[in-house]
Amino acid sequence: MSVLDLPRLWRPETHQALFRRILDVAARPGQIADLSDLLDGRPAALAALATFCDNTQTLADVSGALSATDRAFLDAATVAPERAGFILAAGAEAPQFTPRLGALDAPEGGAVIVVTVESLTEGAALALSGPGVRDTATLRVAGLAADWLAARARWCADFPMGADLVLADPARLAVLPRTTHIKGA
Amino acid sequence: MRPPREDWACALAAADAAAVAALADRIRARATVAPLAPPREGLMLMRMRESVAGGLFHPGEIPMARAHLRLTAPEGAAEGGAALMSDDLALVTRLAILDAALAAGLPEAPEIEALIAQGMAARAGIAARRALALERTRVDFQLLSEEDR
Amino acid sequence: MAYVAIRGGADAIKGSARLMDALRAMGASAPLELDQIERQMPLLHSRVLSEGGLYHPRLASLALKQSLGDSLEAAFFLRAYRSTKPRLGETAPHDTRAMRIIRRVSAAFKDIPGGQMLGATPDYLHRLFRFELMDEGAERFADIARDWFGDRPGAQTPTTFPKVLDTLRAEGLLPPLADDETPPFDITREPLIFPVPRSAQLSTMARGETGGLLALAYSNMRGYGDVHPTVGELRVGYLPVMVPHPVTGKPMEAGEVLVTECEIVAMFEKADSGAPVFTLGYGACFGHNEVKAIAMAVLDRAISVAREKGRIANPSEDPEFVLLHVDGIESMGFCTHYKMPHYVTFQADMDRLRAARAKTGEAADAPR
Repeated sequence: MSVLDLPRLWRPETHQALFRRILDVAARPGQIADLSDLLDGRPAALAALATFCDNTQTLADVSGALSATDRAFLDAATVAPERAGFILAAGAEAPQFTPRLGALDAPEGGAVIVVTVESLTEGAALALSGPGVRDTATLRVAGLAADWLAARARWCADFPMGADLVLADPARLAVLPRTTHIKGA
Repeated sequence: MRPPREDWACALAAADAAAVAALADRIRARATVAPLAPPREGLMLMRMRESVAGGLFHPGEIPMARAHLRLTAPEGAAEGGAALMSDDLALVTRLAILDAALAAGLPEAPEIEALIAQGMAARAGIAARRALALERTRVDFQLLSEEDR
Repeated sequence: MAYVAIRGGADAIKGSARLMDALRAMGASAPLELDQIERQMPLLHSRVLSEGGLYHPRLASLALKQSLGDSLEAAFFLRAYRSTKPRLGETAPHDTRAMRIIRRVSAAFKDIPGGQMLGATPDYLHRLFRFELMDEGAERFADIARDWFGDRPGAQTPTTFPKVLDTLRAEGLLPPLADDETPPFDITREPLIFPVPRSAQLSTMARGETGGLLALAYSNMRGYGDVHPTVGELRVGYLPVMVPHPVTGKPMEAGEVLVTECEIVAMFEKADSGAPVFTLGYGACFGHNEVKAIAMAVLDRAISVAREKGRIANPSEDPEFVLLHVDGIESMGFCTHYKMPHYVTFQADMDRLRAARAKTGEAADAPR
């Protein structure tokens, strides 16, 4: 065998499996994707970025969480958060930036923000409604500063422009698309 | 005198392929090799500068395979890398292993240097044949003058 | 035009594919080796490299073999293949002054720095058949190689040369080159929506079909246009491809590409001052293809002339006309599609024709 073994997280077949699970929970806000069987101990936030990023994308690592090797494997160009297509940020810290929100005729230009949180199975209960949610759904999140939901409300006020959030605890993901309404936020 | 590091890969690519593969595999068998970037093969757009207005354009795409790894052997460790206009990921991985092994000064260094020398001689042969073709088709057109008529 | 799916024909289609193979394999000749195509038909091979837009010599040979020698189909194979490969990025800009020359001539200037070297060209030979080529054996090839190389290992002279036009620039006869760093337009990812930048024009023509480019350029040369070109420099050679070493970051040679490049010099009377001024045209492509590079340079100048004059007087001066009609895969593909079943749409045409004829017949029969 003369070609190197890639760690599981960086294999194309892993990305395909991850993509399917992320797409499913993005279509059904409130549901959680358990990625533990795919991660080999790596963080779910990194797995999300590995699925999204390649050398055509731009990435901002707001809290400096990525190692040099991880950045090399993600292969995305590093830019400031105001210009990035993908952002990695810590849920415990209030966002100090305004991400790309897209344009009226190109709303898909809005950023996807991967926010690391402590837990998606315990913590404050968020009441979700909107597309993909039958009546309401409850999402529990621990480790998400309150400023995040206020910022998200501002960013998504001019729908279809806005940003989409991917919440990640160490092994799980949940998605808050800009179409989801959070009660009281 | 060892040639600059940036010349090793193209020299090894011009040396005896079986010998290069055997040497790289022998080193790999007794060392740990870990990728520092995903080994990739694909296409790159080639950028060329046109010489009439100085702008850039793409004449087309070229194949490219790239490897960047860390080699750790009992005698030493080093990063290694190689890039080649090729879709052969196995070959470029082997070139990166030899690049690391030579940079780390492993006991196989003299064998690697011998293969590099072999490859450089092959490349020099190609350059010499091209120069010969130019020399033997060099032309000095003379305008016809009144005396020639 | 609505297309309707057709059923049936699977057996015939399979039979057709097998027949293509059978026709290849019939008779007494040995299977073509890829090396034979690359080495003994290098100019056809070069066409496919540049028209396919992918510099992969081995696959270009395979494409010619598989397509039974159809250069349009062969280029199509390369385009289809490249669409399956990931994009690793773009190289740094490459300057053709670094070309390892195998041919270099100038029609404008007799004495150029470094000299003129014909390389391998039939340009000065009569087009007379060499019938002895009908019966060549391997020993003949060995004799030819021995005669050429003898026991001389080769020469030591340099194979890189300065540009002829640089001498003119040094004399002030041409404006200095401004290195324009604007990222080039990517025609593999973006559609051509006019007006397009010059980089899109050059890239489109660089992988354009040779015959199409030649016809349009010839129309300009013959009089449907104003370009009176002289070849300032035509060079063919191998351009080393440099990419950063993954560890040191310094440029390393990853391979070389065969390139043909032509710079033409044309005169153009400026409308205001009336004083004639040197103007230039540029053509370059993968592979050894001189007609294509010259045609490209003429079209480059033709399009620039129209832009400078503010008026398109001929088809070869219209960038939309030129760029939308020179891609071999697009043109061949559309032409070929006419052979695909159009039964339902044509049936509709037949019905309309019959109805119209019936109406005409009724009108003729009606009492006046």
